[in-house]
Order: sequence, then structure tokens, then C-alpha cells
Amino acid sequence: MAVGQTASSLTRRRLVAGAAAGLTAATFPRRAVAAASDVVAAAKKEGKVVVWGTSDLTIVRRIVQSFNRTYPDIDVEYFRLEAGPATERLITEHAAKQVNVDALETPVGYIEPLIQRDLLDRFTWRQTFNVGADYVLYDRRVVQIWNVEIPLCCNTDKVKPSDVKSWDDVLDPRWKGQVLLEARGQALATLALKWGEAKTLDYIKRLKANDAIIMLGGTPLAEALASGRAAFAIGTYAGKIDLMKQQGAPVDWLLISPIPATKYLMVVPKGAPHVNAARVWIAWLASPEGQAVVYEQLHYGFLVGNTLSPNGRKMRAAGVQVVVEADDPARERALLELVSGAIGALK
Amino acid sequence: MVRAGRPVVSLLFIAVLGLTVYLVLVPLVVLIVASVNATGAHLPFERPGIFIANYLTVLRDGGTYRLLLNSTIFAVGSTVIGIGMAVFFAWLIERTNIIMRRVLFVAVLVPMAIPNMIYATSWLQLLDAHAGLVPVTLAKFGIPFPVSILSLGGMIFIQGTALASNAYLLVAGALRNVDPTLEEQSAIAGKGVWQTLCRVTLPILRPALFAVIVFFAMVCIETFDVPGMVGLSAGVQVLSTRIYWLTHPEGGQLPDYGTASALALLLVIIALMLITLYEAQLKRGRRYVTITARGYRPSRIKLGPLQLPLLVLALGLLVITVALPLFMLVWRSLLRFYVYPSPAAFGRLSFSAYRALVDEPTMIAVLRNTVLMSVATVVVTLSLSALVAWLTVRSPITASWRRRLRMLALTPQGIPSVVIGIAFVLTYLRVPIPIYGTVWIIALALSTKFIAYTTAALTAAHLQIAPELEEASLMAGADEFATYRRVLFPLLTPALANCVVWVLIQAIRELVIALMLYSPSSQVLSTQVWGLWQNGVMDQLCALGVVSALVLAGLLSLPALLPRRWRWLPV
Repeated sequence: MAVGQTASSLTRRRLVAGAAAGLTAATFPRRAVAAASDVVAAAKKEGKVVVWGTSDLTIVRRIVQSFNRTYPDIDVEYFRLEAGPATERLITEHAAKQVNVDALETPVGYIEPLIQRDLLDRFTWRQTFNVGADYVLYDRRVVQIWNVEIPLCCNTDKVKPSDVKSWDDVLDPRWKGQVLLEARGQALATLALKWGEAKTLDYIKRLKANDAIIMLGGTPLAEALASGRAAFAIGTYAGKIDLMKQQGAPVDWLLISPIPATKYLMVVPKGAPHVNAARVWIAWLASPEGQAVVYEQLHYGFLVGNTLSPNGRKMRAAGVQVVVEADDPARERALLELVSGAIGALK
Repeated sequence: MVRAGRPVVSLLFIAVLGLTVYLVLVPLVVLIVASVNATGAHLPFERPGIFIANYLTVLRDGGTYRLLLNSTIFAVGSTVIGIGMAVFFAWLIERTNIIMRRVLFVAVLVPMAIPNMIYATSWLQLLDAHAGLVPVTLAKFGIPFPVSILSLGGMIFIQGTALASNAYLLVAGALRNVDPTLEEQSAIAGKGVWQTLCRVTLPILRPALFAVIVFFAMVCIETFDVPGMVGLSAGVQVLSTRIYWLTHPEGGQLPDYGTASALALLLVIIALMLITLYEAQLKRGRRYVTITARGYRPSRIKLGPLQLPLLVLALGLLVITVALPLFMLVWRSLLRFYVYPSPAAFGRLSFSAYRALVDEPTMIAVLRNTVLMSVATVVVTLSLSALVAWLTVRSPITASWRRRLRMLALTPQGIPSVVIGIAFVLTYLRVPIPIYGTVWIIALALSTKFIAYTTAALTAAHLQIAPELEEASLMAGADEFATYRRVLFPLLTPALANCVVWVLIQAIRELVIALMLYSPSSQVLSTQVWGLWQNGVMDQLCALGVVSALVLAGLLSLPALLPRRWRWLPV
């Protein structure tokens, strides 16, 4: 098991799924594996891939430029759409037999409604494109494309990063009204996998007692931190903070254990009009070449597995533990509901 | 259906009724079906059956009543501030001889070009207790800032001031049609400026004002921008934020359209109650006639010694509600990250955000789509609502049918934008009309949303015109079409012009419907703004707000250069 990978690996559901997969493999003949060259040739014929995702278009354009250096015959049409509305739109379009997306970028949570409705295409990612086993999930339906780490962040005009030793330091009364807390609570929900529910709820209670400022969205949180609205932020992304720091903002993220991280995934829906081009795009993103470009542009990458991002290597070198969100969407949802309920802003 | 035998009018009525039924009933049916059919795990129409669980959830939840109370306080407070400011400025600019009228007019309307989320952000950066410009500046002089913007009061203040410019356009349109001789007679009878305003001007505007109040009260109940941004940190939830979170859940849940629709039906019920009150006002329509055959001479109330104090008051209000947020917007657009204004900070200013906007490769397509979508929305909305207003006020159709058509046209005001959006997705993915994914579906959905207000505004404008003007034209041998074109249309032009400007700006600003219906090939300005917001590119976002405000200010100043015969434009 990779450093810090906890709780997400072995669940009862995974055991059942593994047993079922083994039984299927024993009963039915082995499925034909598509050759990468055949998929790429078919993708060139399709000429285009429509991607729905949440990244900044300016940054995506630069990633696409790199992709086109390897695959100049495949246009990438990137449509910025949040994961929730994208999932809803895909379900509705599929019911009307009018799927307009080839590759959908989504966090773990939104996988469940898509799998329940059998909307996702399976593919031999490992055999065809040599995608690492750690990154092919949900019975070959899903490829992980990066992790997003959500560490404790600070405004360096107000706090010296080396003075902060643990997550509990922000509960000190001298930081009253000086902690920004993201309302949905993804970071704390993931930390709950390590801390347990009771400790997490107690932590939220003490944060609120210390007059934490509740805001919505990791990016607005980073903006507010940079503008000096508070000294700390819980719920914004290390990648975002890195990019802001490069642009001169007085912000930094802290190497304090454990660091919670989410998974970002890419799927190909059944009925996608450019299925081969979608497979080429996804496989390229998960490749070492694609990961290097993604990290350069977004400061995201893998924190577990064999292809660690620079941030992943930095955390491993510092001995910092990474807690990755649960693969089980039901568990993930239950924790999020518990934490956002305790924060209490979205009720 | 028709009192006298006029088959053309009757056919027109049936056509307009059919179109209105189509536009309004589609989202209404989806709303009702979703409220009994959808649950957290299923989208509307995904499974058969009728369930009342959503209603039980809503009615048994004590939080529902708290949300209703918060929404009522928020809507009433914001509407009082917004309409109060709008009436003050509209009266000052349209009815009095105040100096600097053009400057006041442009300044009042400029915030309309700034999306609410940017406007609210400006206020947070101005008044935030920890880093806001005002509290930090006061703290330098040892003065504590006494109020918190993160409160229900703060929400009401921001929403109210944001509302004022929108409401101004509509109140001013009605005020422009008031016959000045009524105010002159009041002055001759020895009544002062204040008494004339309260006893003559405002009472005669009652249907128009009531329409504006009803509309903006519903807007405040439904709006998400300010409650979402300020209320979240303030710990204050309202009905619209609850509906928003139910339809935009986090963590992998599908939207709970069932509970959201059951809650949204409360909005429809509130809207229908307000529409019924509005109908009661219309029954006394004849009392509000201000344009008659007896001559019409525009003149203005002379303020005399009140000129200076009223000007100072107006400029003071504009500095607080327009200049300060606008300054913050400009300042923020010149910095990648917010820095408190200081000599050192000036060294960091740059126009890079403006350059990035110009260099954005999709900007031309976005602007083209925005123009197409907003013009189409104006054409559909105004054509339909002008016909509805004429048919329900002037046509020989029986009263009960006229009332049905009007109520139908006013109902969309209570249907949340998110429901209109999902209704259009579900409908146009299935019907063989190929507009899904184009700007036309956005225009049609926006027309459904806006028809309520424009119908109310144009109905009020029709009521201000004495019917004997048209009767004289008909007796002189002109047919209904010629009478409308030569008599009614010129008199309705100020109200129509205001509605055109209003719909145009609202169509450009509206976000929720556009977000649900846009596609890669139909991106518009509001979805572009949302993308910048989501990606935290605040400098570009503020730059876009500044450019929008400048463009609007330029357009509003333009008519001053036009010949006098074009002065019916909304200035």
C-alpha cells in the first residue's frame, strides 16, 4: 500500500465486486483486447473529443496544446460544466438517446448514479494503454486522472508557516475569527477517515466556537485568504495555492499530517459519439507525459501509486501522511453529509 | 368568448392563449410532476408513480417555516429599500427640475450592468469586518465599524441597493406617463412638493407600482446571488438558498427535484396570492387613467429651495450605493489579488485582466451568442406580452377569459428559474424541435421567465391611457390594427422602450437558466462570468463588470446626442 493510503482500499463492496469479476472471468471467455494503434487510428477518424469538466479553460487550452503535439488529428472541445449538473445532464441526455459528451471529468461521489444506471463504458485501459493498475477503478469503467490535496493553508502575512505544527493550532483563541472554512466540508470529511467521526465532529464544533468564517467553494476561499480576510483556510486546494503563490499572493499550504485528498476521475459514457478519441484523451492524461503537463499547468497529479506528482513526492519525502477519499461513493456521501451538516451552512 | 363579433380578434386571442399556455404550462407541469414523482435518487420522469412524501417532508419540517419567515423579511426589507430608492430617483429625475438630471440618470442605472454576484463581492470587500476597505480604514483612526455585513440586515442592504437600478427603469416608465396638470392643480391648491407626491403622484401610479412591488418581491424571494454569498457566511438561510442546495447538492447526490419542487410550489402559491391582489387593483383601472384626450403638456415640478438639499441627498445616496462598490470593482480589476489601497499598492496595478479579456479566443463567439440570445428574448417577450396586455385590457373578449390569460401570463414569476431550466431540458430533448443546445432554447426559456413582468408593466401602461382615444379612432373609420399602430403604440412607446431595455439587460445577466441550457456552441456572457467566478479569476471578473458598466453608461448617454424626436427613449 502506498504511503498514507488508508481506508479506501478494501471494503466489503470491493470484495464482492472482486469475487464477481473473478467468477465472470472463469465462466466466460477472455474479452478481446483492443490494440492501442487501432484505437488511435479510429480516434483520428473521429477527429474530435467532447470533454465536460471543471477546469479553467485557459489552462485546459495549454494542456490540449500539449496533447495535440502527440495527437494532432484529434480536436478537444472542452465544455466547462460542474460535476453535479454534468451528471444530471448526461442522465437526461442518455434517456433521450442524445448523448453529447465523450469524456466526463467527475469526483468519486457522482460515479454511483452513473453506475446504477449502467451508463459507463468499460475498456481495457491497462492492457491497451498501459494505464497503471492503481488508476483504473470500478471494474474498468473509470480512470483516475489526478488527486486534489486539500491541506491546511495560511496567509503568510499573518502567519509564519513554520509556527504551525498541527491542525489543532488553528483552534487557539488567538485565531478567533481568523479561519476560513469551506461549507461543504470535503477536507474534513476525508480527514474523518483517519480521525474518526467523533474527533472530526468535535473539531468542527471547536472551529465554529472559534468563530470560523464559513464560505462556499475552494477557489473563493483561496481568494479570501490571499486578500487577508483570515489567517488560515480549511477547504482550498494546494494546487490553487501554489499557482497563487507563483503570482505573488501571500499564501502557502502546510506540510501537516494528515493531508486529505480527493480523486478526480474520467469516464466514457455509453453512447458517446467519439468513444475512441475519448479513450485516447483519457489514456494520455493518465500517462506520465500527460501527468507532467497536468502538474505544470494545474499543480495537480497523483499522490499515490507509481506516478507520483512533485507534490506527492514532497509529501512522501517529508513523511506526511495522505488520506485519500473513500472509493465507496455511499461511504463518501455519508461522511460529506455528516460533516456539512455539522458545519451547518447548507441546511 | 368574444362579446361582439370580431373574428380576427378572437383568432388572435386563441393564438396568444395557445402560445402562453405552451410556454407557461410546460414548466408548471414539470414542477407539479417533479413534486410528486422525483426523489433524491431519481430525476423527474425517471420512474412511474405519484408520491406525497415530498410534501410531507416539506410540511413536517419546522425549518420550512423558518425559511419562509427569513424569505419574507429579506424580500420585504429589500423591496422597501429598492423601490423606495427607485421612486425617489424616478420622481426626482422624471418629474422635477433637479439639476444634473443626466448624470443622476446614468449613475442610478449603472449598477444594473454589474452582475449581482460581482456587486455583492464588492460590498463584502468594502465592509468585511476583517479586511474590508471601510472597517480597516476606520480602524486606522481608532474608530470601530459598528455593523456586520454578514447578517440578514447586510443581505437586505445589498439586495435592496442592487434592486434600485432595476426598479428605477420600471417606475420611471410609469411616472413619465403621468399628466403633469394633475400635479399642477395640486400646487395651485397650495399643496407642497411632498403632499403632491404622496396624495397625487403615487396614488395614481398604484397599479404600476403594485406590479413593480409584486415583481421585485418575487425576485427577492427567488434570488440566490446575495443570500448565497452573504447568507451562507452569516448563517441565514432563505427559501431560495434551500431550493438551490436541493437542486445543486454536493458529494454525488442527484438534485432533489422532488423536495425542491414541493418547496417551489410554495413560491407559486405566494405568486398567485400576489397576482390576485394585483387583479383587485386592476378592477379599478379607470381610476388610473392619466393620458386622456384633453391635451398633454410635459412640465416639471419646480423644487425651489429644495433643489440643493435634494441634490445633496441624491448624490450622497449614489456615492454610497454606486460609487463605492464601483471604485472597489475598478481597484480589484487592476490587481491579481486584493491589496488595501496604499501608495505601495499603486505599484502593483496593471491592466493585465483587461488584456486577458480581449485575448480570450472565445470572446467573439460569446458576444455574438449573447446578442442573438438577448435580441431574440426581447422580440419574443415583448411581442407576446404586448399582445397579452392589449387583449386583456382593451379587446372585446369576455372578462373571465381575459382574466385567465393574464393570470396565466403572470404565473411564471413564481416558478423558480431552475425549474424552468429543467423543464426546457426535459421537453426539448424529446420533442422534435431542434433547438436543444442552441441559443434559441435559452431565449425561449428566458422569455417564459420574463413575460410575467412585462405583461404587468404593459398592462399598467394600457390602463394609464383613456379608451376614448382609441374609440375616436375607430369611429373615424380606422380598424383595430391601424388604431393600435397610430394611437396606442406611440403612447405606449415609453413603457415599451423601458421594457426593451429591462429585458435586454436581464437576458444578458440571467445565469441559472443559461447554465442549465448552454452548450459548447451556445456560451453567453453570463456563463462566461460564472466560469471566471468558479475559477477564481477575480480580476478578470471585476474587469468584465467595469467594462459592462462603462458600456451601459455609454449607451445611456447616447440618446442625449439624438434629435429631439427620438427623446422617447428611456432617458
